[in-house]
Amino acid sequence: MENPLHHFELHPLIHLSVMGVDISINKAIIAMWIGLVVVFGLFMLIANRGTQMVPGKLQSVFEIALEFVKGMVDEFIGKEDGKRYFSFVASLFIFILTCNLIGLVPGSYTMTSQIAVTGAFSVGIFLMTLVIGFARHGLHFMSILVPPGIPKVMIPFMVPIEIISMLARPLSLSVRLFANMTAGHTVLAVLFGLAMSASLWIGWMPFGFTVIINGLEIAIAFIQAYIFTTLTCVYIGDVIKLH
Amino acid sequence: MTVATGLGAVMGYGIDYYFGTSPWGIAIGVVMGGAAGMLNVYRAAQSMTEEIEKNDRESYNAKDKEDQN
Repeated sequence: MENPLHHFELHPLIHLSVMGVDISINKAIIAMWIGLVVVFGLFMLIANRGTQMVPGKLQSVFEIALEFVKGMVDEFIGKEDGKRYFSFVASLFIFILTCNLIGLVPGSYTMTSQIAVTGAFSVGIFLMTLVIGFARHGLHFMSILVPPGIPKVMIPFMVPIEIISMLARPLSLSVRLFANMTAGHTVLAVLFGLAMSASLWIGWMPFGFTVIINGLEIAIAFIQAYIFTTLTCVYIGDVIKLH
Repeated sequence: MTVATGLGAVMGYGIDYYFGTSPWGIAIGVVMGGAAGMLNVYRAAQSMTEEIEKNDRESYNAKDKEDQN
């Protein structure tokens, strides 16, 4: 039976190297490009066609998606401040969702099952929140490390605790998405391996489970994209409101 | 929560490694990390309760209005 983790392995398809840095093209990069093309293409299709007062099928799907993100941004960042970050959060949501869904197409690759990818996202978001915080509040931003209303004696204890809890955020953000996608696809691979290695009179059962789990995976693709963007909104909202 | 504890442990281990304060760094790091994890859970619970209370109040007010009508 094939190793269920086999399909996460990446092998370079085209060897490239620029100044000693290995930038070989592999399956994950191609999946990412496809994701970019799909997102960009669909949005450009709507934008070029011109938005109608009575939306067509495609337009209403995208309107629902953007309204959904708008609700999230309004709730966690605030109606006025949220406008500046809406485009970033919306592109993040739609890109992650597309990448999750592309991974469910047989033969393609789940880009979000690489911790390098999710880690790059979450570290970028973390640095962004720091920049937003310092830009908005200046050095007063450091007071995020001291929760309001604590006695002075506790400050030396609270500062390291707050630093750890702040650093744990990008870590758990990236691990959550990566682990969910990896686990789901591993389960699919194990069940499918069972279906392939068993004889037909019992093999239909794990095969049926793969079909059901595939449906579950579609739900997880949506839920994880939603959680990732919600937490991004929460983190941005935290540094804007500062307690 | 687990992530915060792990991160605290790693940071404590790092401090031990560079300053040669073994085993104090990792011991304090684990405790601090656990506290940070607890703090995160506490904050999440607090924000959730606020939301539930807000929803309750709204639905209560809505019901009140219905009764008045």
